[in-house]
Amino acid sequence: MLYLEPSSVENPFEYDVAIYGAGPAGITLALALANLGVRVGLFEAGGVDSSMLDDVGAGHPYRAENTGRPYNLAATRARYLGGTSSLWGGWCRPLDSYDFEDRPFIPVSGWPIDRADLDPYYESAINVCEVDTAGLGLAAFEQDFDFDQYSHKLNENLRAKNFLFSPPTRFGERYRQDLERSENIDCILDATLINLSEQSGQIDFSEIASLSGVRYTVQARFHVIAMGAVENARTLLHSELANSSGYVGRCFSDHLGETIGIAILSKESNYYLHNAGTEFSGVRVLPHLGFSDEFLRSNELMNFGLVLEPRQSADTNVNSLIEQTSFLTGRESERTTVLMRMENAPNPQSRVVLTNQKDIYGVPSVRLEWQPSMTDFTGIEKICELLPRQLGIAHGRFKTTYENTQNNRDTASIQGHHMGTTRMSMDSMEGVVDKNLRTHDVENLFVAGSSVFPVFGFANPTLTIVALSQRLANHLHQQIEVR
Amino acid sequence: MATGFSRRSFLYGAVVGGFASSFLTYQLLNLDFQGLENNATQQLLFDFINDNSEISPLLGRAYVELDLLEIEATNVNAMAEFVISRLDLQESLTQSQLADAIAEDFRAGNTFEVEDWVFSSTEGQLAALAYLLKGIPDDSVQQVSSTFLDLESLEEAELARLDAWGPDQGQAAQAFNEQPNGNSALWVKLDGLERGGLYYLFFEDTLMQTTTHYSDGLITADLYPGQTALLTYEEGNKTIYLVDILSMKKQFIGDYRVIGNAARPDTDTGDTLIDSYNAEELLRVGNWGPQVGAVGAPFNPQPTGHSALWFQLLDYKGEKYQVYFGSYPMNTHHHIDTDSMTAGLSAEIVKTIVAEKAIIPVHIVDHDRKVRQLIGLYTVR
Repeated sequence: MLYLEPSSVENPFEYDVAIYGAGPAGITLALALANLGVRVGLFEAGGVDSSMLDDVGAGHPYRAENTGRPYNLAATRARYLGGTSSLWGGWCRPLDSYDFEDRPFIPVSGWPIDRADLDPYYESAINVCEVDTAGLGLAAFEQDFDFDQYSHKLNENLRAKNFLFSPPTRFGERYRQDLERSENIDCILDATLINLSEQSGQIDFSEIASLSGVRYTVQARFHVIAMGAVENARTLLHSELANSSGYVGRCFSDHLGETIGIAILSKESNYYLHNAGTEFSGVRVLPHLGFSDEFLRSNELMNFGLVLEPRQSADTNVNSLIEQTSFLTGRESERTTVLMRMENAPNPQSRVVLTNQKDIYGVPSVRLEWQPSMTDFTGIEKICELLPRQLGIAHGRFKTTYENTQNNRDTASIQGHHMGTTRMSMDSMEGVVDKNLRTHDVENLFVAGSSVFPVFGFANPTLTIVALSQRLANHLHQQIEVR
Repeated sequence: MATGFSRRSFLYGAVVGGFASSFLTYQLLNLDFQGLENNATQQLLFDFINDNSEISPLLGRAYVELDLLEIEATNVNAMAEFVISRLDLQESLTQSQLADAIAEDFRAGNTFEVEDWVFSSTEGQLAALAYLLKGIPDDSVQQVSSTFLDLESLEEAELARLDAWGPDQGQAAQAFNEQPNGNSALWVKLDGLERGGLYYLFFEDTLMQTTTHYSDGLITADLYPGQTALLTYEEGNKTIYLVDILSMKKQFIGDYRVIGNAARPDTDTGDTLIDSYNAEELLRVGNWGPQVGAVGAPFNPQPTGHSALWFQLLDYKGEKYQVYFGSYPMNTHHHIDTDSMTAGLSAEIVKTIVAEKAIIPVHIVDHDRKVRQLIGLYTVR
């Protein structure tokens, strides 16, 4: 059932699982649990659209300071049914196996699970996100969709890393009817989580407030916060929970985007052109060019994907020189600008902290100190050093234009992917939640969403968020059955 | 490593243009080209040689500079031998195999950089060989060395049956069959032209930029504007030969008839001067430049605002002459230690001279002996 306000809820607020936040993570989890017969309370702070909080003013719950690198938090969060899926461009790609590995050159790297643990859930996440894979499922992300005479496997160290596209699925609109019809779900809007009350290592109850001034408590066997990387951290910090490691709010991250150079590529590489690669056999595909896991591993590189934008004019005599040499060796060529999407290293100094300011519910506001680490930028430089040779093997050329300067570090573009503030870890001293997304410190408190990513890969997070929610639903169902 | 081009590298070009080519020709002649007409390495080399773009100077010169640092700059033969030793010109490669060989260079790390772009050694070696063969004197002029071959010593033979050729006459110091780039072009139609030859047309003793179209039996060849002006400066018949440098044979094509004489501006010294071609030669000039410039653009501008010409001299013993640019005396400096001479002219005068298309004679004058010698022609285009 969907309730626009708490006063219309007839049942007592008692559930098997209480989920706070109705974005992609929360909605996926709620529907999956409900389908397994689990009784769910889904609490969304906003309404069915963005208008509910329009007139709140100075006490807006999303008011935030920013003392780190410039970051537009306001434009990258959505507090209403569907959450940030309303802002999503639909880009989908699972994380690579390499992203899950413990990498010595990245401090506190490695997931406590591996890619194979997530594969079955990625398959179902493809359906939830309505990604057309031409029936190939997960294999579509590595599939050669280029059916002309060329192979896109340019050399043994280079790989196509496909993004496929969701329509994009607006979770609030797409799954509203399912939420309304489900007898196992109470989806309550205007329901802001303001505190989690813990007793003896368990959440005893949660406190919810509405704009109309109604306050009530919720009891559940399991509580799951799924409100995004800023609000998840804010709630745990404010409730003083799950932070024995000190990692709550730390390692806030986003994917960096950089223009790193110019490439002149042989015709085989046209597959990677941004304008040419958007549809193959009716499937929307945007192949990115990247290094194989083996090559990334042996060279201790951060993961990345390159987008190639066609470029109209040659810049120098050398450009035309290269084109002519390409011509002389019998190969047509294409000028491109090379854009990089890159993972970042988790940086404990990049963090969300509480301030003395309070919002209309009396909950402290946050301050963001967004600080990419130098590892990210030296990582870009290292990749730029290796690309000329690797593209040369593939009958192409690459010239870097990237300079690791303070100005470039300050102006690298962001993607609006908030991640890392309640990181997953095997060791309870290196993170906030375990491999099942349960907080290390509180037995019945779980976290969903990209705040649990310990490292980030370069893929957009939504598909992985949905896969992790599917997996969490499975785990919680098992826990409930055991009990 | 980025590569900048220094005065030193420019002198390489001047020296190479004078001496290296005959050695390289000798090296090429020792190769068995027969049956390898599909050899992509050779084809790329010839493409580099025939290409009028900046590929071979830029890439080739960079490779020479980077790869031959251990070899004395003046030891041109050693340079060329080094480059040739790196190339397997005998190996029969398809175009695709050549591309793979270049890719293999990248795989093995056999690369070098030019302006932050990375090239394979194979490309560099081919471009370097083309660069050495062509002898590039400076950034704006590509001049084929006149000492490339001793035309007189070649055996006369019928390489193919001559059908037609042209044009066979033109005005003195004027372009003939002018191409869009300002070059003058000859064409020769032949029957029975054998593949596997390496053909060049010679205008008098000057090798022309030659392209052979085997399928049509057609050979086309260009002279740069400066060359055209100099070679057709005086009226009379100029011999045109077809040479196969692999068989070392030549075939007489015909005489190109120059009509009239080019105007000879006075050097305005107040003296009556004797032209050196009616007397003894004052100086042997190996190379000089720049020889071509754009309308409105001062040539080779110096920090002082002057424009400068340079001359690489042969057997220079320290004689002192004055350079004239058209009728303007230039401030001339002699450098016996480097066998060279430089001459400057003020920016104001240069601006006037290069204001429109023109061909400007460059002379040296011995005022004591009242003799002048035409060095060449500067073309404003």
